[in-house]
Amino acid sequence: MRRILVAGSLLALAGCAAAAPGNAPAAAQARPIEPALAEATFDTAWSIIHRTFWDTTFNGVDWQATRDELRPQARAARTDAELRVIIQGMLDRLRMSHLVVIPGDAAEALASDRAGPAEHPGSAGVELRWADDALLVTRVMAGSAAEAAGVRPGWIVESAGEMTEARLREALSRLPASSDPRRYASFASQAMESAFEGAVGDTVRARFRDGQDRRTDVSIVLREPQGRMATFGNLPPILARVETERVPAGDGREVGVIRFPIWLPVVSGDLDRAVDALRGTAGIVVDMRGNPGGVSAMASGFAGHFVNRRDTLGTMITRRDVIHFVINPRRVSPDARPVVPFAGPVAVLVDERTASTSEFFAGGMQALGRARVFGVQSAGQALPSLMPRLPNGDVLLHAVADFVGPDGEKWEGAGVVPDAVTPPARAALLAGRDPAMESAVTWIRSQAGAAAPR
Amino acid sequence: MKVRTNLVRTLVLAGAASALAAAPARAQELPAARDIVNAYVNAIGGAEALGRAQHRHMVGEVSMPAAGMTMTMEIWQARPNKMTMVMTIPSLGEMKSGYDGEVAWSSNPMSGAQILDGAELEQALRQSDFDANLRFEHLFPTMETVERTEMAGRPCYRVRMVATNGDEAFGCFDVETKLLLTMSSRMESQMGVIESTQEFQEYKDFGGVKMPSRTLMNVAGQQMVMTVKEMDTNPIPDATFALPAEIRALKQ
Repeated sequence: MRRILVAGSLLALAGCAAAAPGNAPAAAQARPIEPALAEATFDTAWSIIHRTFWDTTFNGVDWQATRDELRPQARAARTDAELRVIIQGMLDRLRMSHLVVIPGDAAEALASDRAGPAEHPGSAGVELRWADDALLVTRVMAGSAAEAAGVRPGWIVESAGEMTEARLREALSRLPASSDPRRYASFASQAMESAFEGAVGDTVRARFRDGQDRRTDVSIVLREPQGRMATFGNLPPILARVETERVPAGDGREVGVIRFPIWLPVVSGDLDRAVDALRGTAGIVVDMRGNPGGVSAMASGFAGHFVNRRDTLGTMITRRDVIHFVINPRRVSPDARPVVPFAGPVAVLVDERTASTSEFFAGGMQALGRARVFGVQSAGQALPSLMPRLPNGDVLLHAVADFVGPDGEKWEGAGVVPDAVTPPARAALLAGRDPAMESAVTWIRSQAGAAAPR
Repeated sequence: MKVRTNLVRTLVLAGAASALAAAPARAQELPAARDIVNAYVNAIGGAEALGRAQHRHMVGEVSMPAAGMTMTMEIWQARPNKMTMVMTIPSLGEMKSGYDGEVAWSSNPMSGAQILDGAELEQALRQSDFDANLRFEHLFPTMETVERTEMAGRPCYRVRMVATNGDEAFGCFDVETKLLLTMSSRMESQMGVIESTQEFQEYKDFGGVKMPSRTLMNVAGQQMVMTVKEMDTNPIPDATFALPAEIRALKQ
C-alpha cells in the first residue's frame, strides 16, 4: 500500500494526485483516540470542506445532514483508524478526487505494509500496468534490481512477496462497483508495485510468466532507487528524479525524452537542464505515464520551455477567485544564457495513472495545440488541493477548486483523451518495444519541416 | 507564488504606510480619510521618523499551515525605490524579486526569470517606492472614509483607496490607537484579479517606527501568517540591488 498512500498524499499548493478509492484509512495502524479528540478531528475535517469546497452545492450532498449523521459515529471511534474510515466515508460522498484523509505519521503508515525505513528505501525498479486482465511489466529500469534479476518488460506478474494475484483480485472486488475501470487498473498496478518495494537489501520473491508463458520464480534483492527522497510541505518523503534520454528518430536525428515520477520543486532545476540539453533534438517526448501530479504551479512553468508567447495553461476556480495558470516563455537557460523556448514538436505520453498536475500539463498543452498526446486516457483526477493537518495529526487532502483548460476543458472525471490511443501490448513489450513511445517518435519524425508552433 | 510574493511586499509597505492624502470625506459624521491616515502616521512614529531612514532591511517568516510550509523572507530597500526580496522555501529554493530603479523582475525555480510588465510592473513600482508611505496621495489618488465598523474585535474607520491603475484597497484604522487593523485589496496580476485580506497584529517598535510584527493573511483563499523577526536601517551595499544574471540575460 505504500505507493498508494504516497499517491494519495500528493498534493500541492494547488494541485496534486488523488488516491485509489478507500485506501488511506485501511492502511494505517490503529491507535487509541479520545472521544473529544475524535470529535474535534471530525469537526475540523467537516468544517474545512464546508468552508473551502468550491462547489457550494457539495455535488448534491446535504453537507449539514452528513455532519449530523456521522458526528456521533466519529465520537464513538475508538482508534485513529476507525475515525479515518468515518471521515473518508464522509469525503467519498462528494464523489470527487483529491479528498483523502492521510495518516499523520506517514512513516508509521508506510511501514504498515512491509516498507523499509524511510531513510533507506529499496526498490526493484519495475513499473507495472494492468492490461488484458493481467499485470504486465511495462518497464524495467536500467541498472535496477529487477534488471539484475533478469526480469523483462512484457512478463506477467503473478505474485510478489505476500501479494498474490488472488489477493489482489480479492482487494479489487472490494472496490465500489461504480468505480471507474481506470481506478481498478491503477489500484491493481500500484498495489502490486508496492510489493516490489521495501528496504535496501530486502529480498522480494516474485513469480512471473515469462515471454514463453513459463512460470518463473525470481528473487530480487532491492537496491537504492534512482533519484532522491524529497518532501514538500506536509507531504511524506517521496522519490523525485528526472530522467533524460535520446532515442533515434529513424531519420538520422534524435528525439529527446524527459521522464519524471512527480512534480516536486526539488527537480525544477533538473527539468530546466533537461530541456536545455535536448534543444538540438528533432522533438521532445514528455513521458507522464505514472506521474500522479504534484505542485501544480510547476506545470505552467515547465510549459514555458515549449511556448514562445504568454499563454494560459488552464484556470483554477475557487469559491472566491479565478486564477489563471499563466505560461511565461522561458527565455533564459539555467546558466543564464538567452535562449528561445524549444520550438520543435512535443509529444506527451499519458496513462491511467497520469493524474492531477500531469493532466493540467498534458491537457493544457494539447488544448493549446502545442503537444500531441499519446497513450491511454488519463486518470481524470484533476482538482487543485491543499493538505492541512487535523487535530489528531492526520492530514486532510482536500480539493479547493475546479480546474478548466485553456478553452474550458474539464479533466476531472474525464481525463485527458490521447490524440492517438496506444495502450501497452504484451507482444510489443516482449519485443523490446514501447507502443506509445514509438507512436510519439513516429509523429515527431513526420513533423520535420512543419510550421513553428505558436 | 507570485501572488504571495507581491502580497508580502504590499504588506510590508502597508505596515509602514503613512501620510495618506485624502479626498474630502463624503460622510459628515466620519473623519476625513486624510485625518485618519495622518493619525495613523503619527501613531506609528511620525513622518519625521519614517523619513529618516535611507535603507531598510527586514527579516521575517511566512507560514502556510494548509500546505505545511514555512518560508523565510528577507527584504532590502533603499531610497528612492530600490528593492530586493528573497523568499527561501525548503525543498524549493529561492524565490526572488526586485527593482533596481529601472527594471522590475522576478525569478523563481518553478517559473523561471521574468521582467515584469503591465499591471505587475505598476504594482512593483508602487511597492518598491521607499517613501510610498509618504507619497500615498500619489499612489492612491482616490481615498474616502466609508464607515465606522468593527474589525478584529476593535472599532475602526474603513477607508477606501484606489490606485491610479484601478487597484482598490480598503484599510480599517483603529478608532482608539489609530493603527491599521486590517487591509483588504483586489490586485491585478497575470493570474487574474486576486483578492486578499490582511489583519495586522502585535505592533512593535522597530527603530522608532511601529510595525505589525505579525500579520494574518488570506490570499486567494490560502491562509498565511507573516512574522517580522528583525528590522534595521543600516546601510545596504548597492550591489544588493543589482540585477541577477538571469535577468541580465533576459535584457539582452
